[in-house]
Amino acid sequence: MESKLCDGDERVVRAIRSSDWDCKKQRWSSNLFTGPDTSVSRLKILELKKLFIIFFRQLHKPPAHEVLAAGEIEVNHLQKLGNEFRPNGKPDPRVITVIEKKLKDNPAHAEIRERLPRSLSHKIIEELEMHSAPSIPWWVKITKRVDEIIKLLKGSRN
Amino acid sequence: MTAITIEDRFGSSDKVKLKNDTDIWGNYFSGNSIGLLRSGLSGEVFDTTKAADTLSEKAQQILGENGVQRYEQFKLYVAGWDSGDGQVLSSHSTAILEKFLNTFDSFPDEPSIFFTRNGNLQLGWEDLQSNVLELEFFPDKIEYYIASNDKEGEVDTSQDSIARFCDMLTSL
Repeated sequence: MESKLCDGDERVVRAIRSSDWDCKKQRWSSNLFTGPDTSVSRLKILELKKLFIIFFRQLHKPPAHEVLAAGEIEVNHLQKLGNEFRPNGKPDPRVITVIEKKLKDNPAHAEIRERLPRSLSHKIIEELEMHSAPSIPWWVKITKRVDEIIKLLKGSRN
Repeated sequence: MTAITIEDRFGSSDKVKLKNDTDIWGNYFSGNSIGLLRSGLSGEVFDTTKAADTLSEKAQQILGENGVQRYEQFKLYVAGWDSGDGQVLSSHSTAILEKFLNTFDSFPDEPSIFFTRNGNLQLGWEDLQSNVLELEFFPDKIEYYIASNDKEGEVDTSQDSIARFCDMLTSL
């Protein structure tokens, strides 16, 4: 099946987790965008509030693994950064493709297909607009717990 | 610039640029315990043929309390942690990190430790001119990014290669 490209004027967000961000030292890992197949979510499909709930349900496993924030960027801007990539002053333009890739639990899911250099990833990170993670709604905590119990019950049956 | 705060709520999160000088969420992890760490490696020449599941005393000193705490958390990640793809912490990656830290300890500040979906550890810090340095420790190589000369590459994990690499880092 052919993948559909996201529009250039769309804005996407990347969930930022404790594995990629040392919040005490305020440092970021290039892993956020080196990829390949970097997961992002499309704000055109779901608003940030709903996306955070999805991130919490899918990715948030405290205390070890936490969703701390989300970084937002426009697809056009992402592609411009790739096109203008000049390591050591030498032009080395990179194509950046953002494709729709809906998931059962996240209809806004998309992927940046390419593997990107670490330096380009850091440049992208510098350009992100950051949104801090809100408090987790109580009902998300409960539904996560129910999911875990169902998983345990399924496991004990097998 | 506005600092990101944990108190933000839905609908009111500020859009902010990175590189705040504020200690954002500085106390966020303060309630977590670090766990007792033991190391049979301190004071010994590190044997890189072995995998490692704990950090030596020297590595703990270099990484500091925050880094050790993060490392202990990475050890708790289960297979599939990255939307089904993430691997558990590679003890070989820990061994290569140890090997590197046994050769290089000239960090201007405590480096940060990160964890990749391949199960590798990564170190990140800044040089005296605030340029980023980043290393990822694979079981058979170290990949690096040095922002001051915009250079990316890799070195093998032989003692000679790591020693030459560390000399180069020291000369920056």
